[in-house]
Amino acid sequence: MARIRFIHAADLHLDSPFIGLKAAAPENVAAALYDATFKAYENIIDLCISEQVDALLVAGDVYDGADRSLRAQLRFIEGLKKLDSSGIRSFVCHGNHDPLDGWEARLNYPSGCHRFGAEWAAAPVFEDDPDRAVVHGVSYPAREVNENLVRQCRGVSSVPYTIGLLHANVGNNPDHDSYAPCSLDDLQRSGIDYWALGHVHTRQELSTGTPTVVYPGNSQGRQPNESGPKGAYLVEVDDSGRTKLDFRPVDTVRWEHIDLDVSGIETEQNLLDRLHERMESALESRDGRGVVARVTLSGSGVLHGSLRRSDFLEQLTDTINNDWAAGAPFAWCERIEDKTASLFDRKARLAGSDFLAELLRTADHAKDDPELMNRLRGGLSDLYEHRRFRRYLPESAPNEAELAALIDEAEAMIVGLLIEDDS
Amino acid sequence: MRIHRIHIDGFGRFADRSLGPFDRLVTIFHGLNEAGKSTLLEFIRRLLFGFPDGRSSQNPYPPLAGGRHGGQMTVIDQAGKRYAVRRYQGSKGGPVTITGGRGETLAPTTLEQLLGHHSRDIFQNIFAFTLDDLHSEKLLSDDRVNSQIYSAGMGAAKLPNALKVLNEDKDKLFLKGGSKHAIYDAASKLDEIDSSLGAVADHAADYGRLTGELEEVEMSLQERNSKRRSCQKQLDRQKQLANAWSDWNDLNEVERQLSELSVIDDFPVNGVNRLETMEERIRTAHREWESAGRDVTEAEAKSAAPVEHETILDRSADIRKLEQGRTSFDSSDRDLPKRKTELERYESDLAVTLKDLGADWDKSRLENFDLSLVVREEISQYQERLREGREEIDRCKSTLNQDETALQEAVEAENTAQREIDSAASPELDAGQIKQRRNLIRAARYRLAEIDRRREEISNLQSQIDSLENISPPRGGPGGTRMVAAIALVAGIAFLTAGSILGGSVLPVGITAGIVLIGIAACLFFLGRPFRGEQAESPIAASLRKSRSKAKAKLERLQSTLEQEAAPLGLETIDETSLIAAEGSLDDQQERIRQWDRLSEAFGSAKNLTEQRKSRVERSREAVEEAKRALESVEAEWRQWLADRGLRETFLPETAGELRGKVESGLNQLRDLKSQRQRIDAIQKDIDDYVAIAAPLASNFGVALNRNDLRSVAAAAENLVDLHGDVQEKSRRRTAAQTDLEEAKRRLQERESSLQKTKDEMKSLLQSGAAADTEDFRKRGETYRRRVELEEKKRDIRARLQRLSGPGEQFESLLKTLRETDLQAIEHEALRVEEERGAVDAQIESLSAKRGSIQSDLRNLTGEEESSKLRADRQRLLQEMRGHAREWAVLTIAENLLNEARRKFEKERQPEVVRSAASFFKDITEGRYEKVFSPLGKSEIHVTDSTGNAKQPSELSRGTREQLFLSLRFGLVRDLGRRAEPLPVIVDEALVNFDPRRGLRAASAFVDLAQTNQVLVFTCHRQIVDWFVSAASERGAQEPEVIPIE
Repeated sequence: MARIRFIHAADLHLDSPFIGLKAAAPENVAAALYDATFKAYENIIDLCISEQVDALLVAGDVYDGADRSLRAQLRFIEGLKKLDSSGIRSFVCHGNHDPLDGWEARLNYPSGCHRFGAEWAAAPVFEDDPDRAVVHGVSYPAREVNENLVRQCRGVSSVPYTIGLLHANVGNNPDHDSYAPCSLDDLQRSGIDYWALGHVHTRQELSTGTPTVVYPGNSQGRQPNESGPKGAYLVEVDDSGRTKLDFRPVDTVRWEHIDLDVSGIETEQNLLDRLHERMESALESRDGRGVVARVTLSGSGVLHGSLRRSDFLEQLTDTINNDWAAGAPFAWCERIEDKTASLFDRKARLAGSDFLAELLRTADHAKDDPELMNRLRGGLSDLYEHRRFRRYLPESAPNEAELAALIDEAEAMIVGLLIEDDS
Repeated sequence: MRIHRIHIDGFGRFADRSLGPFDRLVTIFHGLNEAGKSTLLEFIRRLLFGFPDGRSSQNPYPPLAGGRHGGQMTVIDQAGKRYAVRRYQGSKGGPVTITGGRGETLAPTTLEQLLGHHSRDIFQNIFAFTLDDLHSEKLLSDDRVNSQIYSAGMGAAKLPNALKVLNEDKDKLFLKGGSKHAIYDAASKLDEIDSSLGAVADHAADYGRLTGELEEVEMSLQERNSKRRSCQKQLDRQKQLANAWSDWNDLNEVERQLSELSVIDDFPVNGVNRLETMEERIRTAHREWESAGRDVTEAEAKSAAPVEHETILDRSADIRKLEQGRTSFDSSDRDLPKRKTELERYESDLAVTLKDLGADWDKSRLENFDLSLVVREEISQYQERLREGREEIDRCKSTLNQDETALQEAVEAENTAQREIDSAASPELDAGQIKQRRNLIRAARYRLAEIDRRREEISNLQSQIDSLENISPPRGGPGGTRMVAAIALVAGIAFLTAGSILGGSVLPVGITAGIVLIGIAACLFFLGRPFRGEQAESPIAASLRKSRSKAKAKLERLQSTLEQEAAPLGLETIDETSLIAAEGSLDDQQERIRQWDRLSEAFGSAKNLTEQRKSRVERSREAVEEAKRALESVEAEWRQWLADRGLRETFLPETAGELRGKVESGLNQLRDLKSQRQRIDAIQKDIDDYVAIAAPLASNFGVALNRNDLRSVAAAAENLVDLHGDVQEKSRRRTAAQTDLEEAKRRLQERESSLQKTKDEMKSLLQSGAAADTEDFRKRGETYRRRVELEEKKRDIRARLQRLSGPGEQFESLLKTLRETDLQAIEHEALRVEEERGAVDAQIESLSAKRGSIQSDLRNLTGEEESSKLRADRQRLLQEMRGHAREWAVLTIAENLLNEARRKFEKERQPEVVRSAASFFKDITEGRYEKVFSPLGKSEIHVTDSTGNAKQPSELSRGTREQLFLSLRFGLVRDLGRRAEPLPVIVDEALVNFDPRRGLRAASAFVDLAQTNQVLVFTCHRQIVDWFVSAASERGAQEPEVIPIE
């Protein structure tokens, strides 16, 4: 059997913004963030050319149709043309973010690119040798596809190697919308040798046997929970049909979570020193990539009072960024979250008879008493159902689970206010 | 918890103070104001809850009486376990140490357990309060403080402030109906971004439309460009024809002219020009031939001309001598008379010199005189030796004179010293005797001083004896004896003081007397013996008399010793005056010895000097004689030297030197004389030689010359030189003319040859042009040139036309078209095509502009990055807004939680407290006030009297108001005691404003409370102590322990 080498990428989300940033980034960082998805895509194209692969497979969500970014489509086609001129074919299917009925500019795709339509279709990897390998693929006709598309895949080619290109949620992953749901078993029964999947942003090798089932994840992390290396798979099928997976990072900006326990930290300067160490460490381990860091301070210690002071965290963030954000590569601290607790002995206080003890008991009671819980959340609808503001807050109204956390925060806030000078 | 013992290490006025054990239910600390009751209360508070830090405005109670700031307290919990709580001033309230009953160290949290987890606020406001804490008049006038007191009772002193902070923070984030909050700001910005993004969203549709339009425009442009190219091609053809038309006409004309000319196939190249050149060359050659003939004739005439006095050229050598010697001849002619005059003067000078030297001197002796350097050196040496000899004699004589004068002075000095020593008196004592007598005087002085001190002592003793004898004896009893002792003591001290102040000789006396008197005083005082007065001499007086006797005896011994020791001085009386006189006499004797010694020394020195100077005079005289002998020896040598040279012996060396100079001068004059004679002879010879050459030449060539007149000779020589030059020049010219004649003849021959050659060439040229003569040759040449010119023009025209059309068929096609058309038709067609092309250009321009515009729009659309930024900003703002919303939700829930807890606390807990308080209050006020209540949700306390009237605390009297708040505390203490470790109740003067009845009732309430909570009372009022004692008695309770505080 002939040897095949291809790149499997998905969820490029070209020109889609970074999500979850609370603060405005400095100019150099903002420019890098605007360009990050494009740079990652360019790195994929360069990887294809440098590795002289046979094809590039893109498993949906190339861009976000709702964004109507002309730039995204143009840059995407520009990359495909570059591949075409190097004799590398490309295969593209569309997902929930770039469905066929979504907006699309009138652009000419290169002849070496095959875009799959709303029905399953097959295309040879090698035009001059169509019986060597075939790509089967399908695109979303509309944003919401709730059918199991894998089961609609019929007549898989009998060529030596078949690839399935699909945007789907395998195994009902709760972190992603359940579009084109299917099970691993469906995929294993399909007769396809390699399932090039898209949709789930976390890299996953669901099966490494036959068939090989892979999510490469998105090519550039765009939100705090998309940390770690992001990229594409270089897939190599040897003469005996064995598939070898080689993940290649292509991202240019990386999310970093810095968790720091302040329990043993005595002074603000010590805290600053520790944060500098962590920022330096984050930057050093990222091979020249820019870093967007979210710092979470935890534990309980003497610094709790300082951290609660007005503007303290903002000033701390500015101090860190003054030293790290302007460099190349940059390390930009997007925010510092204070999840520290005071040295307050809750259990002992709860045993007391004073007002604070009553308050702590009330907070505990609320978590088991829906009526009390409703009283505590009273007034929240003023904001979350506000005629003007609700359209910006549809997903942020606290649910039951979140209310418990909010009550804990509220309790910590009150404790700070009532006993902050008693220690 | 009960307090069992207190130990204060250092706190305020207390140091190392222990109190306890407090075993009774009620313990009363009773003491005056400022005895430290409040200090003790504060000590208990701080030991349990910590010391305030240095920044606090509270009284720090520093350990004024010493000790370490802090102390220890022993407490007993409900189970009867003992604990020691130790705390000292330090950071964060001061380190606290808890130890158990066996001395084991326990965790600090043990203290919190012992304190029932009550806060400092609760303890201070409810359990351990002062009159100030209870005094509510001021507090009740301020609602906020009133509320705070109330809240403090619930354990949340900061509740009002917490609610305020929460509310403010909440409103900053979101305020319903407001427009100045963070969420409103974020939403406004989001609105703007959405609006901008809406505009950007249309870009995609624009891109599609523009792409379509661009394709259409591109096609139209392609078509128009094709049309334009066709038009341009036609226009180019017409322009080509129009451009060719002029050449076409010229071509036709050239061909016509060629047909009219006769045909000459061949003609010499450039024939006519060559013919004209040849004709010119023949004319030139002819002119040159004629000129050469004239040159020959002229040269022949010049070469044959004669030259006068040509023979002078044979005497050229003599003429050159005359010419060269002319300057020398003129110089000799001028110098000869001068030299002769100088010769005469030289001879005269020499004669004078010889005369000066003497009659025996002539030129011969002059020339033979030895003037060598040796002679001159010898003369100088003799001159120097003679001078030195004379100077030596003078120097020796001068020394002799000086020595003789010095000898005279020394003899006179010796005589003077002899006279002085003879006149001086010799001393009576020697130095040893004087020294011995001085020692005797010093010893006598010492003895005299001692004698004075003894006399003083005797005098003092006498005065003491006298004073004792003058004192009246006391009338018995120890009192009288003591009086005397006192006087003796005073006197003794007075003597001691006087002695120490005056010092010197008075000191020993004062000390002795003082010690004696003090000793006496002591004896009198302790023995208590009375003086006997006149009846019996007192022991003091006896002692004094004995001392006086001893002193007198010693005085006599001293005087005797003095007289013996001073006997060698030979003084009649020995006192300070006589001793001073004796000292003066000794000083005179010492001075006399010093003077005698000085005179003896001077005489000896003078004598020695006289002897030395006599010896020196002798030596000087011998030196003078020796110098004279030496001079005579040199003078003899000199005379011999003069004789050897035939000179007079009387000559001094200076005279001989002068003679030598004269001889040298004469010799120089003789040399000059001879030299001058030789020069005159030479000049004369030069003149004679010159005349010898000039005279014959002048004669031969007719030049006038007078041998005796040297000026005439000079003029003749000059004329001869000029004549020779003229003849020489004429001869040179004739020779040159002969050479020119040869050259002229050669050139004439060359011209003839050249002329003939040119004529032959012209003949050949005419033949090659097939011309009979030059005129015919010219006509044929012109015809041939015209044909060549027309042919060339024809070729140029055809070449231009070919360049327009292209070669081959295109050219032929062009010629054919030109033959078939005319210029007017061409111009007409060109105009038509140009108009058509203009129309097409306008269309292309319009389409190009449209394409440019579309491309520009497309570039703008594809390069647009604003939407990326807008989307990023939108995400950030959404995040910010959601963050604000979440924070607002936390604040809202916190506010709700606070209010919820507060309502619950008031509803479930407070009524019991208030009920309990009401019971106490009713009891204390003997039923005057029946009810205490707090409206739900309000931090206020109201009371209702027996008539049902409700009053607020501010409406009550001060005492009643204090009773109300005391009752509230009782209620709270009891309520809290049910849930946690009961703490001691400590009150500081809380009952001072109560009347006796209510005071007694309040005390009873405390006694009742003491059944559950230890009660410690601080007061300075005995009445309050009594109330407690009575109350305990009435209640049948354990009697309070009263501990006085001083």
